[in-house]
Amino acid sequence: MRLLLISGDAAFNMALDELLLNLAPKIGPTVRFYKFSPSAITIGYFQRVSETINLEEAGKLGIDFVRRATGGGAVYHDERGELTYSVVLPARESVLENFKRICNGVVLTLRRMGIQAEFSPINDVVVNKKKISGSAQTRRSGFLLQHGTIMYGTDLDVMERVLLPPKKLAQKGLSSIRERVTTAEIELGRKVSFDEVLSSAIEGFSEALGEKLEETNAEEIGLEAIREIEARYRSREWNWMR
Amino acid sequence: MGRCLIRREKEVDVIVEVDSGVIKRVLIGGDFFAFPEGRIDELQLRLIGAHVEEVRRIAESVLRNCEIVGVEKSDIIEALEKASSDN
Repeated sequence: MRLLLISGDAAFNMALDELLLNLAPKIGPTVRFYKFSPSAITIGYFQRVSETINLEEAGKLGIDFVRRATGGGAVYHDERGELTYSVVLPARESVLENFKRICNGVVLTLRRMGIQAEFSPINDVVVNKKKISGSAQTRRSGFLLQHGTIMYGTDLDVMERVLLPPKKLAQKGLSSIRERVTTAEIELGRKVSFDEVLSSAIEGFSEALGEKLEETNAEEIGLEAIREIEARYRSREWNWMR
Repeated sequence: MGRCLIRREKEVDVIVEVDSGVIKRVLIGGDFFAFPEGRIDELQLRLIGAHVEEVRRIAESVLRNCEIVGVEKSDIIEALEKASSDN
């Protein structure tokens, strides 16, 4: 299965994931690992900007946001603390089955690093009930795109400053984002590098998907169409639609 | 303006503005998943200009071939009706 290792800013990253989904009927499945450079926030397709992001704090820290094409919640993507994955596959199973199957790649990645992670439906991976990874999914033309996070060293102070706490946390008896999330560094009690997570993720996702991942460069796919998609992700009309 | 939030595994949060029984503005928000997502946008558009009594019929029709994950379709319809009647 194709492996792509290309990173950029938030708009580029979301545009490339969408392009890989659009191209899937022609080029087939892809697994991609990347980071957000610079750090950014993504919000779910149906979320309201003013109720998910602390715009004042995000502005002070120079952290921009992009609306995803996928549903789900808001995410702070730390350039120095998160590996992001995306997987494009034929959508043969149910949404929930696919969440489980692909999130198993995250579980196996973390287990290779010595962390006893487990899948928590609908779309999370947890360690001792604390979220270490969240995922989101969309479907088009018989293929699915699932993308998600693996937090290895995310700055939780910044995350707490820039994201407004979801109302449902209070319902679960948790008053802050920080009380319900963890990172690989917290769990292992040591520094973790992007490259360490990446090599575990290549093995973990390969095992979860039952296929060897082989690195491809962008030229082999043809990413010319990305500019138009990227422009949408940079537009006010898209990002402030809700 | 009426508003209704329903929480399940995910949440749906609906805002509706009604004038003389006619819907002027609708916002369907939340952290749920919809496949395809555009069906929710279509529902918002179809509801504008509709009478509040038509909400259920329109929503059931537009969401017929839409898969919702995290909340139920009935939650979205209930939230729309409650937010509409709250005006």
